Amino acid sequence: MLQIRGLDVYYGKLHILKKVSLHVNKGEIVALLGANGAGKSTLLNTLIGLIVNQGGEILYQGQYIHTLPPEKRVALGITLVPEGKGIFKPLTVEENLILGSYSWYSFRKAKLLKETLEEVYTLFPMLKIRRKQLAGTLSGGQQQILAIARALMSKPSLLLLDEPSMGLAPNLIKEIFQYIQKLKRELKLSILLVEQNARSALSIADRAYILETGKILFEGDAPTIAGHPEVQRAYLGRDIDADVPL
Amino acid sequence: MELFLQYFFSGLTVGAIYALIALSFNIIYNTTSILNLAQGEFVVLGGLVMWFFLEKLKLPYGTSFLLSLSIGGLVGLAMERLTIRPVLKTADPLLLILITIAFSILLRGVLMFLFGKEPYGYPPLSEGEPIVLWGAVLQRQVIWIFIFVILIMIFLYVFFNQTMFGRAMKACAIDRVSAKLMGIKTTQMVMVSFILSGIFASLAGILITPITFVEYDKGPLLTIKGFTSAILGGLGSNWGVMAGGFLLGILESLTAGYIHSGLKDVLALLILLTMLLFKPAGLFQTAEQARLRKL
Ligand SMILES: Nc1ncnc2c1ncn2[C@@H]1O[C@H](COP(=O)(O)OP(=O)(O)OP(=O)(O)O)[C@@H](O)[C@H]1O
Ligand SMILES: [Mg+2]
Repeated sequence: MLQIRGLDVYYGKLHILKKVSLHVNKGEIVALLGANGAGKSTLLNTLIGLIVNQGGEILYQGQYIHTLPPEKRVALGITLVPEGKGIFKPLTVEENLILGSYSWYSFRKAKLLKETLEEVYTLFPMLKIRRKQLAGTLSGGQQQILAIARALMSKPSLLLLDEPSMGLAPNLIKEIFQYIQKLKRELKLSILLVEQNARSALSIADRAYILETGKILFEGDAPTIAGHPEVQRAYLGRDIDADVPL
Repeated sequence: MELFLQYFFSGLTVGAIYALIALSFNIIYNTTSILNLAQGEFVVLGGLVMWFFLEKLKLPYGTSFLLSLSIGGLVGLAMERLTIRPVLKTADPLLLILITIAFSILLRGVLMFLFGKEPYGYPPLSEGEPIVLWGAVLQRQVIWIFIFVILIMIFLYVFFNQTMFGRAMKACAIDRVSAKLMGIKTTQMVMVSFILSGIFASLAGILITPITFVEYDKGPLLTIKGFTSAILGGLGSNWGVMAGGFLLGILESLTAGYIHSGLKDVLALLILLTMLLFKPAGLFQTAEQARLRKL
């Protein structure tokens, strides 16, 4: 589905991603873990095209996409829910969702937009109740759900999630992770999940990568990674939600 | 009372024009954070081009009207393509604003070359006796101006709230990066904002010329008036800046009527400075709201 080979990204002279290779198979959840500043967000932003890579290549469904602008990548079915959610706070919940369909919407598809909106409301009934509410007035957890729901409006096949649990209370984190699992099961989405909550992420992921200062340090099946002594020492020891197993 | 009403009506008339200019400022500002200081020249362009089609080529009023609006939009498009697009990604806002000043000088020069320095005018949209309302005299053209402003407001409302394209422009104004993540081509939004802005500003010129005449060098003053209106109402909100336009028009007209007509332009500058110093976000929005709009 997605294959990254030898990706190099610089901010000016700073070498941020160093020959990163990674892949996501169809229908799997892949966790990308790493400390602050490791380059996780940079990787996702490069995948969607906000940042241009200086070296390496990105293959998506057999097509090279690293030269395409973001709107073309979204049209191909990749969607990023960015760090900090990126919702349009002065707009209503429904307007946010409608904007999610921008990549495929045309006048003739107005009916499809209605149906897609209903599907998303069925998945997240909370949003239907609040659809006229300004997005900025939602709670942090509700905003995160809105951001994910808006991403689904684009009918993606590959979903990139950048720290969806950031700043949320433990019970909400659990809810978000359950939703992510549901997306995989029911919508058959492939998901690349960036997280600092390593334990929770590993509990729902099929495979995982550990990124350290721009390099992939370990990769493997989620249980293997979770059991790896060095990973346990460096990433699982100080897990914020260590007390809240899923 | 009649006198007051007379001042009030003429204030509303000028105000409607300021409102259109402020709106053209705002539409570009929202998608690019640029202040297009060539806005006044687009107003002049509208009036002069309208004269050319109507009086020189003797085309029908409606045809001339639509052609002039199209020229306004096309020059807006050309401005974006030739001067803004090539540097938008790399240049900082200050440089971009300087570019718009350069473009205004260029456009003014072209207009002087084509039309010379004399004032131009043409008949109003509909001939007929002025209308007397509670003792105050209202020219028929003024009624037309109000009708057009109301139409524009309806257009804006429908465009930004009911169409995907308008919503995308709003999204782009609120948060450009998130807009890109929705698959919105932000450069396309920038282009459309310049076209719309060119159309609205030239509409202002087309409508006001039968009342005040137009000459090639009226642009800079109109730019200042439109900019002051936008700051007064609060850059960022279309409704705010239009309200700012009407407010400035009325204040100017009352100042000119009750105090001295020479103070009219001073007043605009005074308001501009005061607002920039003490309430840069405008009368109708808090700094917090203004910031939310521009992330
Ligand atoms: N715009 C930028 N200009 C220069 N350096 C940047 C920029 N954005 C990020 N960096 C640097 O790139 C490195 C990777 O940042 P990135 O945001 O990708 O990390 P991250 O793994 O997502 O961290 P976090 O867990 O804190 O979100 C950091 O050292 C950061 O300081
Ligand atoms: Mg990050």
